[in-house]
Amino acid sequence: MAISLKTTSGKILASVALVGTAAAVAGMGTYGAFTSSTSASQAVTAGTVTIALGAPGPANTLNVPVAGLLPGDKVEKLVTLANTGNSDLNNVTLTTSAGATASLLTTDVTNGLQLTIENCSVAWTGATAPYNCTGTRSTVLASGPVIAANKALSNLASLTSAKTDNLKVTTAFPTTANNDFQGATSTIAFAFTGTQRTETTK
Amino acid sequence: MTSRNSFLRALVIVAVVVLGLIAGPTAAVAAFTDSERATPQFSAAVIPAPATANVSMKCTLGLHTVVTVNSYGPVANANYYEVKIYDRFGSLEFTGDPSQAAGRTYSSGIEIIGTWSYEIRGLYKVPGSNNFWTGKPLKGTMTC
Repeated sequence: MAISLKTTSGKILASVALVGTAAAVAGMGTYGAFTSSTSASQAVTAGTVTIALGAPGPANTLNVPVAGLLPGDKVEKLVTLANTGNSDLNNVTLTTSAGATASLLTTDVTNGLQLTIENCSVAWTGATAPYNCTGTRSTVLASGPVIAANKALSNLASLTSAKTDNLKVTTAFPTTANNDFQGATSTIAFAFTGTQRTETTK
Repeated sequence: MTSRNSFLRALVIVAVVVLGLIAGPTAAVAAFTDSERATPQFSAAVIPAPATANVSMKCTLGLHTVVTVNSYGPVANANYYEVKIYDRFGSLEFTGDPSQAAGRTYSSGIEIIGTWSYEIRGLYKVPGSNNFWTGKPLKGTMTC
């Protein structure tokens, strides 16, 4: 339907549009006046949000493949999680996915792999699993199906800039996994995401 | 009249766009994030068939037989072994644990023996559970 300036609504609409446009343009417009100005400058640098897993080796065995799992087996992997940015973090979440490699190991939420993450205030000890914590031990992620999205991790020191956590990632294969699991294989992507701290006024 | 309406329409559109540009920035929300990934592979075990087996059959007048499992190759991941012996009709005659003396020899009753078959496989019995995994069988036949 055409809008006509002959109608009352058309006139009102046109008036609102004109007033809005004028108000918007006015703010950007120039006007003449005697002015004086001075300036001060201050460098403003945005914070950096960066997290890092340990380099492959003793500080990160997470990528090491695991073969020959039998019901009742547990796999312990160690990895450090460091806040290498200059900002504190609001949270770190973990999303795991198997994508096209999904198998009973990842799709069976009861009998498939179960994931637990623990933190130790000092480096885990032991050349091989089971690893021990001689410091303070805390639960980062309670046991649950290995595939999950945006799971918030708890008890992390690395929420603070320049801090590092010593994580033990345990993958348990339940004793109830039946014969159908034989030979099942999945590649599981562990994605840790750190998000900036909540905003503040400075 | 038509040109005036077009002008009015254009004016309204311009106004809406300008107001949108003014209000837009306040609606945007962003946060700095960073992600790190690891992609380990997990594989469940497979219980293969024994690579070798030595099974003998002794017959008496073709009417009685004694089947003995003399040896069998080890099976990865197996913590238990099982032998099954089938008669000439394929009916199961015997199931035993060949690691035990009583489980590796079977003496039949009086019957026409013909060609019998056997299967030897490894199993994984989950400790503290009734659950078990069954391995692939090594199959063979025996004839009197």
